[in-house]
Amino acid sequence: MIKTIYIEKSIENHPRTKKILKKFPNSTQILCDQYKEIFNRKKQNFRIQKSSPSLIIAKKFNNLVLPTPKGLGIGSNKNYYFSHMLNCLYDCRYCFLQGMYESSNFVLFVNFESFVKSIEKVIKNNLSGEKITFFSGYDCDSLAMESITDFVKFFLPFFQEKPNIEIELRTKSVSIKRILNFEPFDTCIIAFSFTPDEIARKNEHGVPSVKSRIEAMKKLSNAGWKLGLRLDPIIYHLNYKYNYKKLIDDIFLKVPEKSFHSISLGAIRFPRKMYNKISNLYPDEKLLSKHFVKENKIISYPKHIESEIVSYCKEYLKKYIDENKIFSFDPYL
Amino acid sequence: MKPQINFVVALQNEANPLIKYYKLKLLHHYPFKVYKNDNMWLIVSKVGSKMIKKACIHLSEISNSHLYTVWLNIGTAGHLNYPLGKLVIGNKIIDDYSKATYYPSQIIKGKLTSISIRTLHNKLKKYNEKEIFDMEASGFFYICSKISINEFICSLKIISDNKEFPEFNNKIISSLFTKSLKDINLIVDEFYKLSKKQCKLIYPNDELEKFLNKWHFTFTQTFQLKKKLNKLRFLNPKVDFFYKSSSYNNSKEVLNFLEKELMKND
Repeated sequence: MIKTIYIEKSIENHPRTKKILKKFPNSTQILCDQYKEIFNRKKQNFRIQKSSPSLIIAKKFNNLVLPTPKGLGIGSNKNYYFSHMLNCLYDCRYCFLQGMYESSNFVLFVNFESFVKSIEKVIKNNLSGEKITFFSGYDCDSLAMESITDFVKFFLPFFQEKPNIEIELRTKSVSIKRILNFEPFDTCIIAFSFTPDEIARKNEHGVPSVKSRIEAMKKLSNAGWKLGLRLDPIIYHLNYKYNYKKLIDDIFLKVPEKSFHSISLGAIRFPRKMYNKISNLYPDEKLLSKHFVKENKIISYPKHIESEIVSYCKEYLKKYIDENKIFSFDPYL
Repeated sequence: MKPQINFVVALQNEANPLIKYYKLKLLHHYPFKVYKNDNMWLIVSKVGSKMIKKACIHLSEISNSHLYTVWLNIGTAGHLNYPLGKLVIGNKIIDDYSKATYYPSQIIKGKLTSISIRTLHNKLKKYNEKEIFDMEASGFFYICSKISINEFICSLKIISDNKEFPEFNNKIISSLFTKSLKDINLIVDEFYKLSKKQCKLIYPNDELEKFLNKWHFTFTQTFQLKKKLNKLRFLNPKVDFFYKSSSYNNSKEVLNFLEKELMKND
């Protein structure tokens, strides 16, 4: 439940702002000049804020669409991401957002039309006609706060009209009702992230269970939607072989192979500064304390562990799905 | 590191009910009156933004405050129509002169009304509904946001004047504060628990000292040592890593040993 909402003065009267505020009549509403005054200030504690995050309603002016980091992609030549929100409803202990932002408050950019303009511009500038994928869900969960944001409601019709452009909505949410109201289209991929149940229970706080996520995938598959499976991050632990095998079996038992657009996987890794920040915030978290080494400014598992776990999962996935649908990320590249 | 509450109040009449309630003892008179008990400090700053800045600096120096010390400014303020004695919490602090703005965390606010505070540098007030007026909050936040983290800085205000009773009456202040003590204490309790929780995440200095006294660690090594030991105490709370390290000859060997412990499978 959101108790405090900060609102940038410039979008105080924006129809989306008004609609959101109506949903929280008992919240404390505070006007600010710029979301950065609250979100970017130094000396705040991400961990403490996570117990009761506030919502900041803002307008994004620049960098609305950005190229994805090198090596991340699902088959297109050009990959871009955009974030209508910063921060996530869920509290996953391995999440890089904990080390990226000063604050765990949610920032929601309500100027969706500006995102559309920027996406259109990227498409227009793609003179060579190379395949483009846009990703949503890097800095937030694409679906988790749909009841507040209306993100899907706005963006799906837009991408539906772009038959040659792929859009991935990455999520751990089971709020798929809104999506099921639309006709499926092949260039939209609903990508679900997973860790095995044992890891999820300990580290994915507030996230729907693995079982319910698989159920949500099944419903989308039955409705004809293309799906993505994201085993990223892969977490090394004592029973990892058994647990990842079980997870993959459970998924493919319920969801037919033909529904999958792609599968991507990568071992847990952080830029060094990000890792230091997160491990200082959570010195009591086992996941962040064990097995890590520094390599090329990246904190990850030692190369042999990283290769072992990624190879194991990749090989096992091949039992169910064609290799060319599997994409892995190597932090040592 | 111990949990700590630092109260900052402008007037002796505001301080007295808190001193009595928390059984604080006078530590010194000069340059500011300072009171304390085991885990709470209170400073009487006198009126105005400049004075409260000086008082906060003084208290931070003498109280060995740390990142998780709670800084609580409790004072009086005026509002258009809030009744006298109403306790509120600041959610936005605006310095009327410099226009500097601060956004106190709203993580702990109990059931209190949360409102914007405008800090004036003179006593001319134009009451309105949207904000309350005081003379210290911006100075308090200016300093405290440099020495503590935002989640541990809070400004509580008791309405002392309004349109109907515009004159500030020093004689009733103690009684207004006394009536709010129960609600103030609820907030103090919550902050104290949070401070305690955060302090537990810091590696105890006395444990670290054992290592530093036995081997020579450079500045960087000390930092690494503290971090590794802190992780290990949560992973293996029953293991005495000082005892297990005792056979090693130097700091490098100790750090290598601790690193290996962190790489072990469970």
